[in-house]
Amino acid sequence: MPPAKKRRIAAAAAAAELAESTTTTQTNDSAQSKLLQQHQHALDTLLQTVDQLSSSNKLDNNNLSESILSSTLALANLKSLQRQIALQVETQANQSKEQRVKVEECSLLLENLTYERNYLQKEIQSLEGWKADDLEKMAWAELGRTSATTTKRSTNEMKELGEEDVDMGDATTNDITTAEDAINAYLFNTATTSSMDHRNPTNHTAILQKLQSDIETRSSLITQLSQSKSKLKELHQKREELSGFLNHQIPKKVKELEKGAESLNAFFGGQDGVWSDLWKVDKRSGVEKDDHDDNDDDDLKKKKKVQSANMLINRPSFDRSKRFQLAKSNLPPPLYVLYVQLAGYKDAWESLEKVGECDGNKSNVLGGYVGASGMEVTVEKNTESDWRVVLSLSISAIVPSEVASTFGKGGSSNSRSSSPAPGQSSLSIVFSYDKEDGVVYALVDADGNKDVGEGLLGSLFPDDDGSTLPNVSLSLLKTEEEEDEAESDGGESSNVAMDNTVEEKTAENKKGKAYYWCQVLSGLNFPPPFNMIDAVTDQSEKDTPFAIQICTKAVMRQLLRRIRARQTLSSLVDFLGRRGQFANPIPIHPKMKCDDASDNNAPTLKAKLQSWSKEEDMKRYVATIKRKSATLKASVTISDNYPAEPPVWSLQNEDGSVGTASSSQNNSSSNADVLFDASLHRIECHVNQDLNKFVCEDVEATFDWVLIHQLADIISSWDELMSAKEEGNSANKSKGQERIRKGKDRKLVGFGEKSPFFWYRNGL
Amino acid sequence: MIRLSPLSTDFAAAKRFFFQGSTNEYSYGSSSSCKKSRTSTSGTIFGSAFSPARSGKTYLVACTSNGLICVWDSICISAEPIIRVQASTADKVLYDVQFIASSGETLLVVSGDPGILVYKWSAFLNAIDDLIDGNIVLEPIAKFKPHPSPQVMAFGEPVEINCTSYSALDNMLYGVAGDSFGCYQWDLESEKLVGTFGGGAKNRCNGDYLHHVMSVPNNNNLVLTAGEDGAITFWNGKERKLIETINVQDTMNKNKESVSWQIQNKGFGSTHQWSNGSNLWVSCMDRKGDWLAAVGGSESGNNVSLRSGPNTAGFMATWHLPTRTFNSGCVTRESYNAIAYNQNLDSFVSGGNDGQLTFWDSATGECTGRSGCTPSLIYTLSCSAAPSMMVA
Repeated sequence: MPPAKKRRIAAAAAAAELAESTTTTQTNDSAQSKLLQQHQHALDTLLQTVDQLSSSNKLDNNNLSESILSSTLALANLKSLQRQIALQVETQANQSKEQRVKVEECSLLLENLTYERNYLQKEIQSLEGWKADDLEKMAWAELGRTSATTTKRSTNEMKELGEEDVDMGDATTNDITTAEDAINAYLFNTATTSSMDHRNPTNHTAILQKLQSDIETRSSLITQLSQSKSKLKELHQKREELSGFLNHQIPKKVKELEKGAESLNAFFGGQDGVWSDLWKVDKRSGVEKDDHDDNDDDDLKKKKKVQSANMLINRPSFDRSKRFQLAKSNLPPPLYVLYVQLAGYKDAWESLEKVGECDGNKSNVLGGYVGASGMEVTVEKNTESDWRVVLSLSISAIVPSEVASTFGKGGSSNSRSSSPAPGQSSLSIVFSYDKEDGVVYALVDADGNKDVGEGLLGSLFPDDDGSTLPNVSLSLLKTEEEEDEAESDGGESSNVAMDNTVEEKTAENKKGKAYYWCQVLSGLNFPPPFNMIDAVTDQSEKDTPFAIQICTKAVMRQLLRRIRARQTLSSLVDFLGRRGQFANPIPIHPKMKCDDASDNNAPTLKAKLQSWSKEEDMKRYVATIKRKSATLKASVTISDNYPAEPPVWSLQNEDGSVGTASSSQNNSSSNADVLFDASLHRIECHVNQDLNKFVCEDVEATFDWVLIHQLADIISSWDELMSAKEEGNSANKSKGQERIRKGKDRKLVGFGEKSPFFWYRNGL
Repeated sequence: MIRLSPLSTDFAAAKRFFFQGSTNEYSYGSSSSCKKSRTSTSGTIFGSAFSPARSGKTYLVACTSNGLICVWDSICISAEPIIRVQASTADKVLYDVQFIASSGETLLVVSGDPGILVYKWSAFLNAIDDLIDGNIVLEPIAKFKPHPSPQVMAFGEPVEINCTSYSALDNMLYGVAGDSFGCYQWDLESEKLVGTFGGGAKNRCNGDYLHHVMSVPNNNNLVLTAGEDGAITFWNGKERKLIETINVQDTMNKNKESVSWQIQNKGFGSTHQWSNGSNLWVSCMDRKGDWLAAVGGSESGNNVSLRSGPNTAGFMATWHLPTRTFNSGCVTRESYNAIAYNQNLDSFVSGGNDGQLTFWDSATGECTGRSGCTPSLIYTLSCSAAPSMMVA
């Protein structure tokens, strides 16, 4: 094929392709490249044709025309291609323009967004470290802790103290060491985990819900608080009104009452009262008319009337305004309660005594009020803020008259002490309130009479010795604190501790002891001492209903019993010590003496008390009893709780043989050589066991005489024993003689016949 | 094996609140108590005996100062007896308890203030078999009471029987009383009083009341009595005739080379003798074959050796029964209330006011040893061969 043809065919093919490509190049980028290729190809073809034309001048016309034709075609094709290309370029340019605009818009937007992003990132960064102080505080508060720093400090302290395993009660609480943890714990109620972080935005909703619920709760609480406040305000107002009534109206009324009662008082009361004059006259006339039985009933009625009228005097009522003033003063409430209790008791006793209802042995409501003239309750101001309630008792009024008459007046005073005259001896019990301890203390002031005053209030009720602070919670707290201090000051010398003990003792001496009964009388509700609880429990287990209920009546009864017993004991010990061998025969309580037992009937004892001495041990006395040449040493140990715990006697012969049964179990090497005397043992058993034989149960005062009664029986029993020995030794063991002993234990048949209580015990 | 009863008291240890809370009164036992509980009434055990074995099991029976007969299982002795029988009112003392075999039946003879009470032991065993614990009521099958005594002046005061002894040969029961009638002799079968001896005008030998009686089975029905007068008297029980009276004090003084004296717990030695004023009494006797041992005390005790010492003393002396000759004697610081022969130890054991058990060689009469004891006062000693046991 000739090249021209080829070129035509190629041109045609290119044109066809171009035609085809024109439909596709508009939409397809690849078409553009194809178009460019076709253009290049057409251009090449044209250039080739032009080159051929220029190089072949000698060509024939046919060839020339063909060449021109092909060139023209090629040129036309080229033009068309150029046009297409131009169109396309134009389209592309438009598109590019549009795209550029879009790109510019996008880049602007991008810049804005970048800026915003950076801004927000900065904001987030700045807020990431933001400390929500209020939330933190609230979280600590909700968790019941103060703050992380405090916790850390305390944790460090604990670590220093070596307490590694500090049990804080909750494991989660222990994990919380930072504020973040605290907030997390507060918001999520769980221990800190990675998922449960309040800074984690995913928890935002939950946090919001939690906070909202809390806010609602708080708002309700605030509402309640405001309501309570308003109520409190109302109550304050009411109180103001009532206190106004108390402060103004009552004193006014009391004054009116006192004023109204003045005339009555003048009429009935006092030695110079009209009524008393009348009564004296009546009394005198009653004496004169004593022989007339008809007037006896009238006298009794009159007496009753007078007694009833005397109740109107009711002198304590005149102290009511004073008491009211006390209530208004700064007297601590417990002391005021105590004062009112004691003063009320005194009123009750005085009133009941006037109408003759006051009988210690009566079991009714009015019975059991015991008292003594001279009983007084006063309030003193020790210092500016320190108040004291003083219960004054007259010892001479408490001690029965038979004590003074039997043992003499000297008995009631301690010869070694510079106490006032026995008749005027008094005893004060000072009650003071300690705000720090929250308890009432009681101290005895016995005017230097040690025999009575020392340990007077100890164990007034079983196991209430005042050794433990009744305010148990406070005492426990104090103990813990002291222990802590002791641990912290572990290296300090013991001198400090000694000083503290001395100081404590001095303080104790100054303010006395905090007995449980003081707290009960003061209205302070503390649990009773442990031993008391145990005792009560034991008793309930044993089904024994007996238990002393502490009340003013019981306290006064116990107190007066104790004073009476102490004073009687002091008197009789003093009497025995003073009189010695001149104390024979040993006096016994008048109630236990037989009316018919005149001196003639009373058996004469050869055994006599020789001496009575006090051993170094404060509560141990030794009585030396003599009978002819024989001597008996009787030692007695007296408890502080005499006579509730009666004296224990032990007897010893002059040869050293004792009456105390010492079995092999309690035999020590020291007394292994001591002989045992069965006869003395029998006497010991008698005086130490048969205690009811030494008292008259109807007369309470006889219990105080147990010691001297026991001594009297020891002397008489020993005398019997010795006389039996004498009779046994004598050769006069003839038949028909009344037997002296009986049984395998060689018991004396007439044991107790020489006792001063023989007649009493046999109901004679 | 020696078992000791847990018995003692201490005044100081016991708190006695008789003022506040009179319910807490404590009761005291002078030496021994059959019951340790505070609420119980304690008493002194004056007599004890082991029952005959029944299918290898024995019981310990004791009588107390408050009229109780208490029975313990000898294998496991506890503070509480398994059976208590109130034989008399609480104010009457029981002094002695014996087991006798009469007409093929075991009888329990208890004596004391109410006289002699004879029980069937089988009744006790039935109660034990029926698992009856505590107090039971048993009536005695026979009661023997002494004569109303001219020495007992107080109205209603009983004359006590301090000790009893049974003679199986003639089925007689002997009981020594606290009055001048001395020893009573009852026919157990007819339950009638046969006679008295030792206190009457004709054959009176014992000047005071009697502590102990012992019947020795031989041809003459030998009966020995001992008492407050310090004499051991030998009687022909069949004819109630006096054979011989041995005054312990005189015998010991005569044979002073055979008597050893204890001085201040430093051992035995030196030859002394009782002074005239010594008031000896014989409290108990026991024998091993032909050897008789007696213990007692002296009240005034102003003996030569202990002039500066205590005014009480005790003694233990042995005699050869067939010849009635003094063998040996020993004077101690404490008086003795009981003596018993222990087969297992082959020795006499005595107890008294010293709170100790003293062991005496049965052949020589020498003190071989002492043992501490829980009670400080011993009134009775009983030995059981099987199981080997001794109670004080």
